[in-house]
Order: sequence, then C-alpha cells, then structure tokens
Amino acid sequence: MWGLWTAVGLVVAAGLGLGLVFAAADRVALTGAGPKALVEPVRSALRSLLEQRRTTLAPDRLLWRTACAAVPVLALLSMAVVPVGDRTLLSTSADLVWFNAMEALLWAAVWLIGWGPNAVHSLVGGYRFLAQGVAYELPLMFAIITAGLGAGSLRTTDVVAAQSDLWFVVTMPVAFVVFLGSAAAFAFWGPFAAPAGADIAGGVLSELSGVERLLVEAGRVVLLGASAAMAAALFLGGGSGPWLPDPVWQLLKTLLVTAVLVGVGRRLPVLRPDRAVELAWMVLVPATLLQALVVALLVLAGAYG
Amino acid sequence: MDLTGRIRRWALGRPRVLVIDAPGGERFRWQLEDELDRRHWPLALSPADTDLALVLGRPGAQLAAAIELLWSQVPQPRHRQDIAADGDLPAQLDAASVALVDAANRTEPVQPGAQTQLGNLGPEPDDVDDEHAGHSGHEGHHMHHGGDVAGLAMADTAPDRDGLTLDVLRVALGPVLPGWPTGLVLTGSMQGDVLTGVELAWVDGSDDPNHGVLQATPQAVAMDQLARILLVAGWPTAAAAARRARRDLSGSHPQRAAQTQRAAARVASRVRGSRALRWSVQGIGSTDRGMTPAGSAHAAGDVWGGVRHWCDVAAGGEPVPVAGSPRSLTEASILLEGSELAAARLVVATMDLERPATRVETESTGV
Repeated sequence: MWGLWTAVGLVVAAGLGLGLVFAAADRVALTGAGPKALVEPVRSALRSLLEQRRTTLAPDRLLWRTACAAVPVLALLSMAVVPVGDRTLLSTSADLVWFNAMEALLWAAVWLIGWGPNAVHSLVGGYRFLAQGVAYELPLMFAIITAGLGAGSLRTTDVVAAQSDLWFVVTMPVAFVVFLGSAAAFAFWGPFAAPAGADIAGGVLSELSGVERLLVEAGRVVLLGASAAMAAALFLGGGSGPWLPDPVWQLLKTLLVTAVLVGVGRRLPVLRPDRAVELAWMVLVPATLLQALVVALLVLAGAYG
Repeated sequence: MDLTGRIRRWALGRPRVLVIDAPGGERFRWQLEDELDRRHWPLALSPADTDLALVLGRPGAQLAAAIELLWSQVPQPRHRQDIAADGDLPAQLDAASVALVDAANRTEPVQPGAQTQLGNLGPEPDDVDDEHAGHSGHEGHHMHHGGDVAGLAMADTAPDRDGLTLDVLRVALGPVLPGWPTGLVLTGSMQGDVLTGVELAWVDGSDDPNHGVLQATPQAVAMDQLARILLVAGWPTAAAAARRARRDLSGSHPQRAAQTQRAAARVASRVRGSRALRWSVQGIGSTDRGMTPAGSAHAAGDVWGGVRHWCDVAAGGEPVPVAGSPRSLTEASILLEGSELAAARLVVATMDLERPATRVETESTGV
C-alpha cells in the first residue's frame, strides 16, 4: 500500500512539475521578458491563493465549482498512463483509451465552467469549447490509435518498447503533429484559445478568480505538460537513447516537445472558433485517417517487426 | 521579518491592470500601456482577473455608474485609482501597487460584492449594466417554466437564422471591454453566439466634433488600432510588438527616426504576412454578404481588408479611407446584424468610428 501511495505521489508531482515547466516556458514566450519570467507562474499561483473567490448572480454553484476542480483532476489522471521512469502508474490493456477518455471528460468540465456562472461571455466560451472538443476528439483519437496500431497494443509501455528499432515519429509524423495540436485544443491554449479568448473577456475563465482560477489554469498546463510527455513516449521512443539513463532521456525529450509546442503555439494568432473547427473536420480528420491507413499497410508489410 | 507580508508583496508585485480610458484619457492611455509593458504588468480581460483598476480621464455620469458596477465585481484584494494625466506616471503606479498590497494586508470583510450590486440592477435589463462580464445576459435554466431567477428574467426562445428554436439572450457589450472603444455600448439579442437586433450607442456623448480626437500622427494612431485588433484577434505577442512600435512612433527621437520606421514596417509586414491571421479573419464583416441592404454605398471591405489598411498606414503609407469602412454607429450596426460575437468584436476593433466628444467639464462627475 505504501508503495502505491508513493507511486501516486510521484506521478502527481511529475504532472505538476511538467505543468509548471510548461507554464514557465509559456510565460517566457508570451512576455518576451527572458528568464526572469520563469517564476511568473509561481507568482500567479500565489496571487490566486490570496484572492477572494468570486460568485455571480444566480450561478449553478455546485456544477460550477465541481467542474473547476475536475479540470486538474482529469489532467492528473491522464498522467497515470504516461510513463514516468519506464513505468506507468496505471497499466491496463487500454492505456491509450484511458488517456483519450480523460480528455473527453474535459468536455463536460469546461462546458460546465462556462455554463455555471450564468454569464454571457462565459457561456459563449463554453459553447466554443464544446464545438472544439467535438472537432478535435476524432483527430486525437485517430492519432493515438495510430501509435497503438504500430505497436499492436494499447499499453503505453508496449508502445515505447515497440520503438526500440525506429521511433514512430518517422512513420507517423502526421499523427505526432495532430496529437500535439489536439492537446492544445483540449487545453484551449495557443491558436486554439478561442474558448478563453480576449474577444469574450476571457470566456470560460471570465468569471473565475481565486482558487478556482488557479485550479483551471493549473489543469490546463498539467494537461499540456502530460501531453508533451505522452508525445515523447508514443512517438519519440520514450526513454530510449544512448549514454544517459532512460528517465533522463524521457525528460529531455519531454522538454524538447514542450519548447517546440510553446514556440510554435505562441507564434500564431488564435484561430477564429469556426475556422479552428473547420480545420479539424476538413483537414485533420482525413489526414489522420490516411495516416492510420499507411501505418496499417506498414504493419501488414511487417515494418514494425 | 514579516515573511507573509513579503510573500504577499511579491505575489502582488505584477498586478493585472484594467485600464479604463474615459473620454479625454485616450492619448494618455498609450503612455500608461507603455509603462505597464515596461513593468510587465499584464492587462486584465475581465473584472475577475483584475487587481488594479486605473481610470484615465473624466468619466461622465453613465460611464461612472458602469465603472462602479464593474468595480463591484472585482475580487479582493484590489485597488482602484484615478490616474492624473499631468502627474508623474511611474510614481502613481508605484503608489497604486503599494495601495494594493495594503488592501491585501487588511483583513476587513469584503465589500458588498457582485451579488448585491447586480441584484439591485437585475429587474432593469435596459440599464447599461453590463460593462464587462455580461451578467445581464439573464441566461436561465433550460426548463422554460417562466418566472424569474434572482430577479432576472428567464431567457426566451425564438426561431434563429437556421429556423431552430433557440434561447434568446438580451445582451449588452461595453462600455468597458478589452480592445473595445471605451464608452461604446452594443445592445442586442443573442442566440448561441449570433447577434441580432444590434444597436450601438455611446454613453455620455455630445455633439462637439473636435473632442476625442487623438493628437498624434496618423501612423501612430494606425499602430494603436492595429494593437487593438491584434488583442481582440488573440495574438498577444504581436499586439505587444505593435504597442512598442506605437511608443517609438509617438515619441520624439529624431535621431532614431529611421530605426523607428523600420521597426514599424517590420510589425506591419509581420501582421500582413500572417497567413493564419488572414485565414482567420478573412471574409468577416464583409459588406458584400450578410444583411446589408442592396445598393449600399460600400464596397466589399472585410476585417482582413481593414487589417491591411491599418498595416499600410502604420508602416508609413498614405492614410486613405478604406472602402466600406463605416464611421457612423448606424452603418456599423447594420454591418453587425446577424454576425457572430467573435466577428462583431473584430469588426468593431477594425472600424475607425467617429468618437463622440467628451462632456463639458462642469457636467462630468469624477469617480
């Protein structure tokens, strides 16, 4: 039992750590203030803890508050199937489905955050997230399944092991990119930040203050950090690499993915919500299906051993 | 060694600032935003993420009432300060920062919050009571059993543009929103995020045409407009670059004029050259489509056309009036009819509206 709690603590710490790293990198890219901006997420977190919790007129308090707490919980739960030091906290025959399911549950959470406070901008943000969630769920699922297809298993550790000869990113570049893009869409971050857009005064975040804002913001960055780690595991060979121990390679690859994701994501403007949805349905769904087809043919040809 | 006090001071060291530029304060807003950028104090998007509310200029009676309501929604710790245009700006911001930490150190009970203030306004949906977060959107439950909730009317249902029966919310946007002309209020009905029955009005306006005009070069004004558009379009890094360029353009450094011009041209070409932005905003607010009456005097001018126009002027080109860009509120409200909220915000940010004059000083009431 003691071992289990240690493992849970380790995974939670890893999730929060990755989230903090992502938030720090994001702040540096956003403010252009250099390394001094690295501490800003900590400052924001402390400020949120000092801040009064807000309420609005006639909110649905139970659902609103529950949904705010659900965002970081779901993000940390998705960490349960991400390899930390070659092992995952939870190892079932359907790890990849679990990861996807946590993101799907985010629909409900973010929608309720938008709906709960009984306010227009917040509600519009919720609508935007619903549309975006539906549109990016399928490409994300196809991208994840493609990795599972190549490995012949839905277990994360099997997927990592299957890349001992060749990293999946080589044969699955589209799935890799779509996976990261969809993660950004589910965390409504970067070009997919329309649900929290400035044009709707912060959207789903517009009525949040104090600990609720901290929970939601933390959940978003933990999800992005966990997705970066998952991308390293599913497509970049996990911990495999010369000279250095596996966990170090895993961490280095995760940091690299984080840096690339932040660098690209902050270079782009927010896509107008209907355009973001159009991109998913018209481009990403066909592209990921094609990618899955190519990988399926390669599997039949025995390319993955 | 007061450790908690120090932590508090550090945590509030970069407060999020809500800038409210009342009539007469527009030009000064530039200097304030430059100073905020220099200090890395972020701009707030809503009352919920506001620590400091800074009021520039002299709000008229209606705007003052709106600021009062907005203020009631800002969570503690918070501080509000009128910024004097002739005072020492850094010293005023330092004072505001100290006052914010003082507010955090005080442990007095919370002021009458949003609940009370909004509850008082609830039964009067026609009030200009929705300055920021959209509370008067009276969105009720989806059970339409009539009646009201907490003094708010339930949402009605009506056929929408696709013939579906959807909830209709009465909404009011403004007079204070990020990237929004302060003092402008949009009222209308919203189904999903589609606006109908749009009406635009300025609060506290008068007829004097010479007030509210910025005393700055057209190039700097265009750069300001660009910063506003980019903020609304959700491109904060480019918006910050535009603000920096605006600072240099409005400063007087003749020895660095060439450098300033190059920097301005760089910002403009970055924005013009963004395919993502182009794809995102192209085709919205076009006077060709939508509900514009046939025979309208305007040519096709969408938001992308407006962006290109402002880029040209900001890069130092000749300021030519853009075809199809409305200047009056009536024209603008026709253009906004039937648009989505996101599109409406972009269209308003792109427009060069005739700003109303400030009121005569004796009539205005300070906050």
